[in-house]
Parts: sequence; C-alpha cells; structure tokens
Amino acid sequence: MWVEKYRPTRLEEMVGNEDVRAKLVAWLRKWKEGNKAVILVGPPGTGKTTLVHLAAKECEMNLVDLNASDARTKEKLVKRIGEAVSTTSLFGERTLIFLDEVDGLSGRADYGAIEFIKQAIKSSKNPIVMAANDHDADQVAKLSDIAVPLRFRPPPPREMELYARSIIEKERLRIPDDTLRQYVTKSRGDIRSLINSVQSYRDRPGEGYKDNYLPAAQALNSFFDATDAKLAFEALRMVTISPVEKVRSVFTSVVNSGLPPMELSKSLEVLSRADMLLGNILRSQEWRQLRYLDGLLANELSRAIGGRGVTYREERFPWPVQLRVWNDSKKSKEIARRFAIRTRTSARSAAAEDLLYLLYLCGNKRFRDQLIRGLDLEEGFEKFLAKEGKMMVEGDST
Amino acid sequence: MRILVGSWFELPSLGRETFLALMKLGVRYEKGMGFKFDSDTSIEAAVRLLQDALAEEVRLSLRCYVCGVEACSACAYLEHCDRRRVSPLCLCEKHATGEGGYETYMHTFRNNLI
Repeated sequence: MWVEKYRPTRLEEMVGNEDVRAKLVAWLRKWKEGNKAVILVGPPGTGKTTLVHLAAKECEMNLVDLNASDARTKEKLVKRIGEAVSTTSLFGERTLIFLDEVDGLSGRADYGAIEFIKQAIKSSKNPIVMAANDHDADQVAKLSDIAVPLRFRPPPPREMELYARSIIEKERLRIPDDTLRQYVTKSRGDIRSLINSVQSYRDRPGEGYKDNYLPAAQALNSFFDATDAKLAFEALRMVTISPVEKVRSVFTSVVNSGLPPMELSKSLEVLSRADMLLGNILRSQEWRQLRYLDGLLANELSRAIGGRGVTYREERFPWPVQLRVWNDSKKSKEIARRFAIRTRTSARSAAAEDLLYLLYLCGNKRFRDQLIRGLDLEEGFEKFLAKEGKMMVEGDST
Repeated sequence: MRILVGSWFELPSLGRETFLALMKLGVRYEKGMGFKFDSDTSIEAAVRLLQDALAEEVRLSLRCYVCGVEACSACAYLEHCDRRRVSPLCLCEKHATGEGGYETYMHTFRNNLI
C-alpha cells in the first residue's frame, strides 16, 4: 500500500499545519518538569498521530503512546503510563507520553481518568501530548486549564497536490492534471484518501473517482424530499458533515421551514430524541450507534416531514442571537449553582430538575423578588428572570 | 472585506463585546498593528462573527509558506478550497507547481524549525 510506503519519516515530509508542527517541536525542546501539556485538536485523518511520532523522533525522545479510549479508567491509565509519568531514564533521556483520542475518555468522575491525567501533567517527569478529534468535547474543556491547545486542520488542496506529485514522480506515473485535481478536491484534506486514489489510478487508469459522499445541502435536501425511509436513510449516510452538525442542520432547517404546528411538534420530539442519542454516543464514544441515529431520523423524522417542502438551511445563528443565548445560559447556570448551595443539592440536579420550576414561578413578581434576595442575585438577573418567567407562563397558557 | 491570513488587518470599531469575542476566538490584536488570524485562531467562527458584525462578506486568502506572497490568486482550487477550515498557510503558483517544489517546501520547513 502506498499509504504505508510513503508515510512521512521526517517532520518536513508532512504537508499542512506548518506552524503547529514547528510549535510542537519548540515546546518539546523547551519542556521542563511542571510545564503544561499540549493537546492537539483536529479532525481525524489530518496527521495528528503521525506528527507526534515524528516530533518524538526529531527531539530524540522515546515514545509511550496510548489510545485513551482503550484505557478509559484511572486504573488502566496507571497501568499503562504510570511508570513513564514518574521516571526518567538513567541517562536522562526523555520519554514523550502520547494520549490519543482523549475525547474518548470517560467523563464520569468515579472513573477518575481525567483527574489522573490532570495530576500526571502536574507531576510528570516527561512531557505529555494529547490528541482529540472533537474540540467541543467535555473532556477537552476539562483539560484546557492544564494543556495548551494546538489546532490541527486539513492541509490546503495545493499542498495536497504537491505531496501527491512527489509520489507520482517517484512512481514515474502519468496522471492528467484534471484527474489529479479531481482527486485532490474529492479527498477533502484526507491525505490517505488522496494517496489511495492515486494508487488506484495506477491500477485502473480509466476509472474515475468514486465518491460516496455529497455536500451537506445536496444530501440533506434529498433527505427532506425522500418519500420513504430507505431513501431518507441513504441520503443521511451520504452527508459529509459531522453527526453534531448534521443534527443541528436538520434542526435549523426544520424550525425555519414553516411546517404546520402538529408536524413541527412531532419533528421536534424526534429531534430531541436524536439529540439525546447523539449525546450518549459522544459520551460513550460508541460510534457504531451512529447508524441508529440515522435510522431514527430516517424512520421517524422523515415520516413527519418527508416531501413537505423542508429545505436545507445552514446551521447558523446570527451573532447577537448567539451572544444572547450564551449570556442567558451563563445566568441560568449561576442561578442553579446558587440554588444548589442553598438547598444542599448538586448543581447538576438543580439545573436539570429545579431550574425549570424556578423560572416558571418567576412569572410572579413577588416570588421573583424573593428569589433574587434569597440567592443574593445581582442587578442583571431581575430582567432575565422577568423575561424567562413571562415566556414560560405565556407558553403554558397557550 | 478581504483578510490575508497571517497578516495584520484593520477593523472599524465594533464594540467591546465583539472585540472580546474575537479575542476569545484566538484573533490576535496589537495596538498600532491591528488584528491578525493565525494558527491559534478559530478562523471559521471568527469569520462568521465578523460577517455578522460588519454585515458584509469576509473573504480569506492564504499566504505562501515559502515566499510569503498572497497564494490564492489564480489557484485552480479557489472554488473548492474552504479557506476557513484548512491550515492557514499554502503555496503560491510558483512554489506549488515549479520544479523541485516539494524539496523547496521541505527545505523551508527545516530552516524554520532550527
């Protein structure tokens, strides 16, 4: 396989992310005990793992690597990397500890994985580099105060072409420019996919690029137009965006579609279940369950909206709306936190179970004033509580 | 508005909240120089924010990693390249298609590393 044959063996042989590659090496060279870790965040197939292996080689370090989603608990992590964290070699050689896919770690506090990594970073005698695919994962957020994030992105097409041409030259292959550009475009930043296409051209020159994927707009419009679940499922499997973007885009398209209230209500109910399923998948990293997500959308959502004129809308809210949502959510969390302290419950249960009732009751000014005094809330909260309370009471009466 | 990733650019006053949001998204700011997108910037989100704040389209161009010139003009991938999502340096026509391009690229990286 050319993917193996032409795997980069030195840092300069990679393409894309030049700054990140140089920054990682500079960080490794300057690393001292007590320094933060590094977390590389970026989509799969962009070369994060290759970079770490080559950076260790560049800095003449040993490498201990571990896919964190295979060792999700503290016990397993201690067993696999405990020694590397606490020891140095007799001759002072450093060992680079690499934890891949940390967004696959269990977020559950009782498993202790995240806490172990945090402690390990503080006390480690060797540098620790982590990698994650999902920038928004809880685990990445939890590690952000003790790890410097470095963003990894797909290389631009011209650099992909340059890399492909270097292979073509070594293989003394002749590929028309148009065909190569088509391969580059279709590979969407995935070097392995590009190399495979070039290799398959050598084997079957007449065969064009077989594309099993469609842009989001095209695939989701086919999904919305589908008149049966099978067609809807096939359309969803062809979407190139992430599952999170997929659910959000479907949501945005549905709420902006002007559907009659009953259909809209049914659709939102299905989307709410899809969102919960997606949350479970992201937490458990059980990616095989993604097929059930598509199944749920295809079987139930498509039945409610299929052929009713819903069209794709890009998942996007204007900045002022985003800002308002962020601010409101910050206030909600703060109210739940203070309420939890007063009632000796957890902030989580206050947010999940009590907040809704509190906001509903805030439709009553007397209650609202008492809550503000009782929780010692600052000035800006009165307006927020009045607005939320009014909305909930009005929503209830309709 | 056109932004060359990795170069300083100016913005009209967009208010404190927008400024703070840009900083949170990793946009660099230096008094006297202006703003800059680099590899630490959440470029996609920053572009969305600027488009909303300025109420105009924001177009990105990338610089050549080897010689630093604007690399996107006359690029065959201009229509297909999502410059908000790809890594923020590219190659100009000369260094992408010229003879020994890959060797020059590797040599530049090695020099920058030392």
